[in-house]
Amino acid sequence: MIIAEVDIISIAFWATVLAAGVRLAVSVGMAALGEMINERAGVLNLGLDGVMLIAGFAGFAASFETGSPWLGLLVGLIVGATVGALFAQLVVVLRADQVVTGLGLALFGVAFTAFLNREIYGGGSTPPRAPIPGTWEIPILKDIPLLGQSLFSQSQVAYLAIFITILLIVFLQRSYWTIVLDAVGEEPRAADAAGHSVVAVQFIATVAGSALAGLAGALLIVGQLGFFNTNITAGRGFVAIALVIFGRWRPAGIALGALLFGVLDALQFRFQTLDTAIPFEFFIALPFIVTLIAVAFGSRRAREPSALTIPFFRDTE
Amino acid sequence: MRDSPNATSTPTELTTSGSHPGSTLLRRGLQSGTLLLAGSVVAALLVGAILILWVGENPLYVYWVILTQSLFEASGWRDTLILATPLGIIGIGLAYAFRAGVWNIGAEGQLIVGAITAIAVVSVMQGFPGAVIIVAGLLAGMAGGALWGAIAAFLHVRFAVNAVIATLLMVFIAEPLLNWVVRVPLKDPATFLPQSRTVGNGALPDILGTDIHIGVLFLFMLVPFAAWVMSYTRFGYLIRAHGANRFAVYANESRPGRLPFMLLAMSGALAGAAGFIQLAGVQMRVGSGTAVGFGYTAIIVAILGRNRPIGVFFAAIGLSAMLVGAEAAQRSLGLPVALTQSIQAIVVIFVVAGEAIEQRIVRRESERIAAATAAQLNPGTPA
Repeated sequence: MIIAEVDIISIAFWATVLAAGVRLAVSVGMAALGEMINERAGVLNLGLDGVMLIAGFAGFAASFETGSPWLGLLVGLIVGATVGALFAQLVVVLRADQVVTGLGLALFGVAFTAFLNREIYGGGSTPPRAPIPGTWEIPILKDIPLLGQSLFSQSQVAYLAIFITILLIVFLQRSYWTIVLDAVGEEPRAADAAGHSVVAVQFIATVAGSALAGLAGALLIVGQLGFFNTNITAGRGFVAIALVIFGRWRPAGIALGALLFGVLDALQFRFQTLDTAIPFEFFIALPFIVTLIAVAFGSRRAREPSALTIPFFRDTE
Repeated sequence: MRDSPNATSTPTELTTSGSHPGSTLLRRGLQSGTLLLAGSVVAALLVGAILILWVGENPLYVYWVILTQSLFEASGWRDTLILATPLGIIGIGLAYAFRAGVWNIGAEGQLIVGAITAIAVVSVMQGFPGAVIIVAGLLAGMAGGALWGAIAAFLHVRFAVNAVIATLLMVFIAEPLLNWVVRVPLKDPATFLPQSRTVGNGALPDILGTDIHIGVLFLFMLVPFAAWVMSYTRFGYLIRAHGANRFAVYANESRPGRLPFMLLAMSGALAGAAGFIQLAGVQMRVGSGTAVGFGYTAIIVAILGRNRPIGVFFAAIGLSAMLVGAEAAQRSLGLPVALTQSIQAIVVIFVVAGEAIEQRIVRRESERIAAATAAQLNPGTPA
């Protein structure tokens, strides 16, 4: 009897945890998918967190001023691409050190958005709020036990993220350009000899990756929270980089990793309120501990793109 | 021999470019890196000026306030030195790691854990004389920081986890650890705030005749020692060689992964030392003032110091002068700290961009000389 009661409670419990997990996976997963694209072309963008913050803030401002969160998401995408173009100009065209430039971008993103937020929106503890997109509830399907809530009763931005993820999985599976992308990241000399411009492919991949990272920032800030705070991503951009390793540079693996992280994050929130003997700070650290362990087990088998962070020089240049 | 399309047309350029007096001065400036650094800082200050204008202040006046408050006043000098101490100590450890191509981004976490272990040891040793407590606290801080660095190092070396990711994720674990430690086991029962007891007898005394704590001396002793080790010892040579070509080092000199492990643990130990010095010299307690981002600012310090101990020293002084002055400007003019932090990040980006442009100039130059030499040696070679 008691066991049955616990079971019922735990199914409902896990249903809400899974639903929250999907919600929390949206932003970090999108950022990781973006980072995957530029890493597969051989460009490491450690400034992912900075891109998310800058684009997310721009998206928030657009959403707040116009009242349209969808415009905010679009602005996030465009600003992400713009920041990506600047980053690519530095690391792909000028061949500046990718690690240091990326760190500079990450630090700049935190500081600059904090500055802008303070100047424009006061930067107080009760930030102004912008409207967020609603949820779509699909009748009947949403009542499926355990999974219904997480798959068929989600925020519209979650469906958008799932849609883009599926699009990416299909596109990268079948496309000729995937081969070019991987050739540039694995064997740039061969790609060059085959007549593809390594610089152009890396540039486009970096812009595309940053566009998705920008969208990721906007998904979180514009699509889910509706407000901005200093360093609101709280290092999610770096977790996304870890997820790329965990997912072994494949979109499906990355989506899975993002879901795992999201569910852990959701559990963490719930455990914090439970009165257990384990201090709640442990649960705050838990997603990072698990990510670290998961990456540790993933890294040995995973092989990063051979040309990652190595600038390409043509012989004749 | 390379096929360069303009190989035959360059012999005259070879002689002219070699003897041009202006270009040697330019080249000397480029080689020493000072021109690059100065240019990057000026460029970043110009961008900063735009931001200051936007806030509605006069950039020249703001920069004047920053300069006078940090360097032309006794209290400014004191604050600059005290702030430069943790930045410089962490920065030297990071410079060692970065020079070898090992990216320790998690000094913030190593500092936090160093401060925690230091306060734990200092708390139980209160009966001992001050000097004993200080030495024990320093060693405990270094051990704590080294441990945190070594965990990341273990994951990096044993499981091939990217060092950036390993060290950084350890920060996100250290932060909740700090919050728990000051909330439960090490909490000062006398207050409601989440903070530890004070260091008591473990507080660092001031240098005689000043109000600067002796922790500053640690930096002043560390800098020449670190510079000597880097330039004149086998260890320093291995670090530099590892940065240039790690496989050459692994083939001949050192077991793979050994040097990255040592460097992550060592830079962690220095971050932990900084954690203790900041605790016993300034904060007096572990609490909300412990994790204020020194570990991240020290990354900028190491990069601006171009991963050389002497350079790190001046970068630490310069950056902390900027921070101290900016804090004064914040008090008197209401300028946000985020503005200063933005300018610092822009400096970093400009320095790497400048470095890349510099390398491109050097590359172009050497290719032109190579092409010209080849053309002179083989005048009959078709273009």
